[in-house]
Amino acid sequence: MIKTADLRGLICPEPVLRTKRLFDDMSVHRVEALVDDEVCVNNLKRLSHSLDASATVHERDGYFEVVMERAEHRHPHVETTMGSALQGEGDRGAARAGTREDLAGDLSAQPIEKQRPGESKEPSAGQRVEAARSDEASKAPGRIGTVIFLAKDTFGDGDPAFSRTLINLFLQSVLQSGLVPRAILLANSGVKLMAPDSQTQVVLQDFQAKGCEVLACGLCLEFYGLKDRIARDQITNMYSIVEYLFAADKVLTP
Amino acid sequence: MTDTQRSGFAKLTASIKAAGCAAKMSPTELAEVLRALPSLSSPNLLTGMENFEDAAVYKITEDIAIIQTTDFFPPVVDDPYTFGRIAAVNALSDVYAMGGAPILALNILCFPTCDYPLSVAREILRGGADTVAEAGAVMAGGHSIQLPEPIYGLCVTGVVHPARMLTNSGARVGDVVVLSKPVGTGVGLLGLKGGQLSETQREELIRNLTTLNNRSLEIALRYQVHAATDVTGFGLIGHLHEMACASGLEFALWADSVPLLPGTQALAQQGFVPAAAYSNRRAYQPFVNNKIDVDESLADLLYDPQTAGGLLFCVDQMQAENLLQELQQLEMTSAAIGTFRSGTAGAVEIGVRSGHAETRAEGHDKDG
Repeated sequence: MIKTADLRGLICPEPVLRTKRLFDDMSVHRVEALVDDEVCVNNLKRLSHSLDASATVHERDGYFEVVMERAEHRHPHVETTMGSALQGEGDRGAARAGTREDLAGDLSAQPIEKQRPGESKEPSAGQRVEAARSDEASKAPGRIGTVIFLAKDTFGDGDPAFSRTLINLFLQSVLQSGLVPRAILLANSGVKLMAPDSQTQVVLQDFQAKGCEVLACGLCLEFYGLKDRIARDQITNMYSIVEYLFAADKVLTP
Repeated sequence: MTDTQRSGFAKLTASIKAAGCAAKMSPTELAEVLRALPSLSSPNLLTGMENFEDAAVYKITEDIAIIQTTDFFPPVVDDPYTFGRIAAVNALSDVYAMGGAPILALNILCFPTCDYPLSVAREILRGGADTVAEAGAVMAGGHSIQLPEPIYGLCVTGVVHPARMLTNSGARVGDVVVLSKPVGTGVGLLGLKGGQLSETQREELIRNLTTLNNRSLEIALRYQVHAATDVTGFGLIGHLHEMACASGLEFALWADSVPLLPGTQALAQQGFVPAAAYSNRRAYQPFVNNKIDVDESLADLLYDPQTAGGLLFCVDQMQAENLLQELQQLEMTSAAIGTFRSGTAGAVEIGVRSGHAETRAEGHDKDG
């Protein structure tokens, strides 16, 4: 999930504190923050480094935009699934080295992308945020299309084993229909659907490969003892689930 | 929480951009301003402006010189009484840094009477008065005005025997510097404001900020202290640089030996670094030479502006060990943090203590 934050006009340590809180939600993989000065920029770089995230700084007209992205999301070709965890480790290592250099270059020699003098007038912050969102239309909430919400690991109520087979069939059918939902949200016993030994794990991975976010409620994962077995960036909270449900054009709950 | 904090007005630190000594003008700005001023001298004025001493010392008789200093800043904590104590500890410190004893203090108070109840002003002044009394000096009055942002501090008068005054210029080759308090108050106060400190970390921070430097000076005066200063807004490296400049020597800092306040290194790693730490770095980096790969967060703390910081005592290597042992009887963490040697005047080299195996200083945050 992408979050944007206009942190201009806030007094230190508010900008870094608010960004940190955004990243506390593990389903947030990218934060685009607007800040006033280089001190905030440097502090956000340090925060990114500590979170193993990259930080790209763009100097705008009188302020800075800092785009921070968690390591495992930095290479779009890497499927962010449990199966690619090893590859993810390597990426993280490389990213860490890169960020260190950024930090060493501090203050004066920042990798700042200057605005070209010939460029047209900078759009307003709001316009820019919108633009960023449409670029990442498959990722960010806001007019987001269909969301599948699974609050149990069965399709309806009936014989438990049969109901679990049916949910697998449901997910397979959606996948084969070619209609890719924006996100699949898992809560309560629904989180078991993404457990590594679950029969639905593979189909959920296929959805991810197609750009659909598969997110599970952290509290639920914890309750069912699954939290350690699920990739960090797929863990979300009730707050985000609510955000998705309200932003969705349509919510499917079989 | 005190009663005043429950009654619905804004937190004292809510609108404050820079806390405590982090609110100081940057060294670069200050030098620019002072450059244009005439350097005044008098045969009785024992300190000049050229060495950036902590306070002015003026000889009254052959046996008595007065020390005059002032220091004030916006709130560093929300509790007004604690703010008063911290501001007073910080202002009194300059007298101790010159080797003297404070005798008299005056309040300097700027206060927005429309925004806060008068009880807040009273609590600030009570914190100041209690601390001045603890220092054995007399609180004799002061001056207050209305300003949108609260500010508090003291003007302090102290006394010292002219021959026993301590300055930052007497360091000798081979001298070891002993620091009487851990560093990290700038980062720690930002973390406190952001609600990032554990209860024990908070207590440790406040304890450091409200501890007078009188007892560590008292111990140090039993030794032959060649030079001294206190660590304040320009950060540990800034004050070491000034000492090295004034003494015409180079300083070798043992980064692995610098005591840090608990939790502050983790905070610096996450970006809780005050603006003044960056401006200090910009100002002093040209004089600093990294012999080792210094961890970024540790470097932040070495440049971190200190409020009510510790004293730096410069003593002969032979005396350093005993001095340190005695200081360690006190509640504050103290440590030998480096040595002076001949070389480029004012240069600071960041390395590790010889004999220590580390090639990379990661710092050594006490967990709290």
